Amino acid sequence: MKTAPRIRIDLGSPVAAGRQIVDAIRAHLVEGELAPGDVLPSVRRLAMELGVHFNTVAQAYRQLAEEGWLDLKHGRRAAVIGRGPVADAGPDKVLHFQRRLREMVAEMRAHGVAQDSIADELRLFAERLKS
Amino acid sequence: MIAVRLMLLFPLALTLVLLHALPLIPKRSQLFGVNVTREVRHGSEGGRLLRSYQVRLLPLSMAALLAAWWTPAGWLWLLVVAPAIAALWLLYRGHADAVRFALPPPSMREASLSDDGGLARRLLWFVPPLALLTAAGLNLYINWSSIPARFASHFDSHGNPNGWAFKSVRGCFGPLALGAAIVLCLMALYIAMELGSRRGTQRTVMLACLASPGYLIGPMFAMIGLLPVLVPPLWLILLLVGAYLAGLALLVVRVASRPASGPAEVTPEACWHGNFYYNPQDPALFVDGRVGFGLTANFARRLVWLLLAAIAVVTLGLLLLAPKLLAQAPETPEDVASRTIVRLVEGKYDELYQSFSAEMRAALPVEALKSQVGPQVRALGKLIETRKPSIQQAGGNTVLIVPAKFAALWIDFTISVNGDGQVSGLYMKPGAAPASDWQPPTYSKPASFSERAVTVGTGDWKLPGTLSLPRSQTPVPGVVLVHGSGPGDRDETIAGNKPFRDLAEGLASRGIAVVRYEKRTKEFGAKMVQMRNLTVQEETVEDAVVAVGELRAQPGIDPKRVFLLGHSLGGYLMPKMLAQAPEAAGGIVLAGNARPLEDLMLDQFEYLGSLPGGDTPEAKKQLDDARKLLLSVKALQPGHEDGPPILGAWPHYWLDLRGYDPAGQAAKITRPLLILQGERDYQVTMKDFGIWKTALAGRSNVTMKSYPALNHLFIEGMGKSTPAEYNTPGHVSGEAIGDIAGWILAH
Repeated sequence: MKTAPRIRIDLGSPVAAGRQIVDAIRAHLVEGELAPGDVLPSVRRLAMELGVHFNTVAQAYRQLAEEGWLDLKHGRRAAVIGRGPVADAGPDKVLHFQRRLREMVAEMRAHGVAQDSIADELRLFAERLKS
Repeated sequence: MIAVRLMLLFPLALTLVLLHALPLIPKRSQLFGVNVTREVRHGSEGGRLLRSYQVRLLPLSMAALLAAWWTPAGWLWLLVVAPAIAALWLLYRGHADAVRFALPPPSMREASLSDDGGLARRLLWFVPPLALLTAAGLNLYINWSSIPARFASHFDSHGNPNGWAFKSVRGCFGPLALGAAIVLCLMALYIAMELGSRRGTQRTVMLACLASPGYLIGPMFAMIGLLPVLVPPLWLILLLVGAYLAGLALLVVRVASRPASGPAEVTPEACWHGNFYYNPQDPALFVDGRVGFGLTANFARRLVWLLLAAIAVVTLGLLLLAPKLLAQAPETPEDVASRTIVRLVEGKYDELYQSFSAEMRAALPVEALKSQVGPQVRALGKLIETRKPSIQQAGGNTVLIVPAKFAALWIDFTISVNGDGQVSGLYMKPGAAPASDWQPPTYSKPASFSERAVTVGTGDWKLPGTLSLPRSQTPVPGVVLVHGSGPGDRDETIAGNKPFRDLAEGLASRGIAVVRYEKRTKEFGAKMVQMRNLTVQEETVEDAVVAVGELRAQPGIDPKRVFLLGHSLGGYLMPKMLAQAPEAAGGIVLAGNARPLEDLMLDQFEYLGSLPGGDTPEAKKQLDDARKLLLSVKALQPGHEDGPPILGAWPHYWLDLRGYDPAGQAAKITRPLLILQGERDYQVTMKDFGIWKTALAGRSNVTMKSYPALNHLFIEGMGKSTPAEYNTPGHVSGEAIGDIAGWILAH
């Protein structure tokens, strides 16, 4: 039995908790740690575990459902579903994410993360994307 | 007394130790419920705060422990409550002091993305107690028919019943339903706690806390529920409680020694007020408590208040319902009597005295019980058994005569119980061995006949009876035994005597089939007492006539030779019975009176008054009273049927017999008669025998004989016959049985 993935959020961060939840769950989805057929905890349960309002979690689940990751229709259970092919992102979108990646690397360097370890991390991502 | 005190002191000491240990119960680096660094918790600051708690609580707990020696039992609870309140206050102070070492709450939160399953699996722990209660209920349902109308439901420390319940759906299934309701409530609470709390906190602890009581409640209430069919031995109850406590201890050790896993639950320090948590931002209903173990509620959530209100309502409901479900039946006089004897024998004179009525207390003070009655009872030796009491109503009292067998002799306890269930009279006198110690007479040859159960009559008045059938190739003659007055059983048991059983075995041994049965007034006593229009027809005649018909139809019986044998009242009614049973071959009258019953009674009372010791003022008064009663019987006229009963019978019974002349009627019946009389009989006397003799003088098929040594029961004796004579067990004279058998076989 595989152990369920965990998410961490920082309530002290300026980034909204809902956004953090979406990002954290999406990372698990993209990386395949959450596969179609897996069931996420109920809104109530996850809200309680994280100590955030139910609406925060409900909104996060809704956004993931809009992106096509989750099926919220079957009762109250949020089930991971297979996502069809996604249309290529337009040049604007690509530019937007390029800028965010650049800003993220800059932020890491500004916080004193060694350049080597940033490079290692990026290489790891690149290899994972190729395979 | 000291032992009792020590038993009270033990839980008190345990509570005090627990109060002292409360801040030390291990929690992850917490000091009075405040998250602190390990250095603070185990360093000098932590040590100082914990010491200050102990030092302040110690004098109070010591004082409570000392005071326990003198505090009256009713106030002992105060000794637990006061230190507990003090401890809570000190914990609160400790918390306030420790807050300045509080670590800032971490802003990082972590959660597993697994679905929250497993609740159903954990709820399985509640199933065995519920299954046990259900099984007990099914058992009751299956065995419903064998549950007595009233059963013991409570017992004192010696295992003697002191509480009773009625056989009713509520009385039987109530305890089971109550037990199941408690277990279900605990289960509901666990469901609420699991759904309303964060994972991994104190879930196992709460499951243990809420599921484990079921393992005591289940078996206990199942046992209570099964009382109607099974009274558990005391050792089983002790074993059960012992096993439960052992299991609980094991569980506590296991849960307590389990290392904490996962990150500590984040609950902001500011939201803690003592051990009360109030955080409107936290969606959890229950959080890991800061003092002791287990969960505590988040009082900022409205659902928690609803839940608490629901718990209060359900608890209150169960408390109100419990006395109804465990309702006890009132004690019967029999219960009071048997408990009185037990108390007397066990020397519990104070308890006995408490059960006395006011007059009885005045007449027999507890000192007299100890100094006078005590030695008498002790001299009797060990109580071996008590028998079914005979019961009479006298005024507002129920008078019970309980035969009790002691090591050396039988004692009859006469115990009066008043309407309030108090003992209003208590006497003991040497008694005779009751009828069940009956030994067969020497003339009984058990190998020569067989006995089997039969039913006499059909419909509403079916009477159980016994047929004694000789082992014979050819059809045998038969005889139906008809009782004397009073509600007799099939053996016509009188004290230690069973004249009808003697007759049945004696006659059957000589080749005559005998049917005897429970008298209608015995089998349906309660119903018959109500019947104001009861006459000898319903009391005696009808059943005898039916029995003749049924005996004639039995295989192996010669229907032409079935006779009636009437004893006393049965003999008096012989002409009536023969008239209604024309197929009966003839009649045998044993000590049958030829005079009206009331005349007979008057003679009896006069005779008893003439006996030695019978001329006391009380006896004279009794005689006068009896005369008055008999005169009132004589004075009865048609139209007096609504009056009160006289001498145990309604007016109609007496009026029905008015003008009945048995000897005169017998003279008109041409069938053969055998009339026998004991000359020592003081109940039906030679005077009656003389009347029969005169009336039947001209008849060739009437045989008459009197026996010098026999009494009313046809038992041999010497000197004047007395009521006390019946207490000495004896047998119907073999000579008389020989005469009866010879007469029957000759016809």
